[in-house]
Amino acid sequence: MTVGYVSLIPTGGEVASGVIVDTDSPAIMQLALERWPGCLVKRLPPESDDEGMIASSIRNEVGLGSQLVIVIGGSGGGRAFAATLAPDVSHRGIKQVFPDASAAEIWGSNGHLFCEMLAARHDAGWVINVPGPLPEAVAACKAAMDAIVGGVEPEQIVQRMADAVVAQYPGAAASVGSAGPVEPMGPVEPVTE
Amino acid sequence: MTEGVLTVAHRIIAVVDKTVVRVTGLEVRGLKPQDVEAHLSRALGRPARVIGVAGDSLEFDVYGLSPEAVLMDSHNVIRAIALADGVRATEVAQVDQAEKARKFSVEELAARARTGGCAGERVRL
Repeated sequence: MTVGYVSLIPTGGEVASGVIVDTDSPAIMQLALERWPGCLVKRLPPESDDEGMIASSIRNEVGLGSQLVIVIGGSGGGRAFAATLAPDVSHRGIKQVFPDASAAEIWGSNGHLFCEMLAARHDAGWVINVPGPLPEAVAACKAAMDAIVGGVEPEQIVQRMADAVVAQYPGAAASVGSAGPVEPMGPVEPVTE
Repeated sequence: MTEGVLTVAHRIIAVVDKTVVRVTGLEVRGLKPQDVEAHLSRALGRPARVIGVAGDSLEFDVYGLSPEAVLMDSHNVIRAIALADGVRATEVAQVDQAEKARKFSVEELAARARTGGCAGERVRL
């Protein structure tokens, strides 16, 4: 599959306000250009942590014909885990637009939802989200782009993304207890943090 | 799929041995988190990952190091953070907290995932 239009949606109040520099977008842009040299890569202004705004941006880009929409950051438990963290809502923004998106979750053994990644298919292409830390964002994007090029299904895309992200955790090779799927838990209610 | 019910096809539990550290009394603007991570990893001799940044504070995970060790080395932690571009340590900069993450069993995590998502607990020293 050749992709001609990629949209990057960075999220997070700390990015929008300039407290931290968005280094993810340039790195992901590079990945896209390596795979699809002729493609248009559009980086939207950073969204604050507002799932409605994120959903709206996704709808707009899909409507404009973007073949790969990538929402960056805001994928974890965030404030639900610790009051000092940002409210992470990107995954919920995607679910607003694509309720049946495929999902993969990575949980820490400390009870923290490290990240939830989604992949959804639409008429023109794909929507995915990736975690904010640079190594994890790059690893997830690489895995997703390779999977998309390979023509695999959304369930497999998110699995590959999750495996790639887990491999980025320091000490993961020695300490990851379950790099594959754990016992199926069946349907779960949407997270209400 | 039933509307409003999300079926999660893939769930991973990553076993982590980390301490969550919060440093306050900073002035942060234009920071590249990976710069701080590099300085912290060098100073502490362990991998570090920035998990939250505000205008006056920074929160990071350090892997394989106890909270006691972090607190004993707090001066070094603040100095390492201040080496990064985009952050300045004020005279009141301090390690505000260093907490060891509580470990949950797989069964507990499964129950939490079913009933309401992320709500981890920390053991504060």
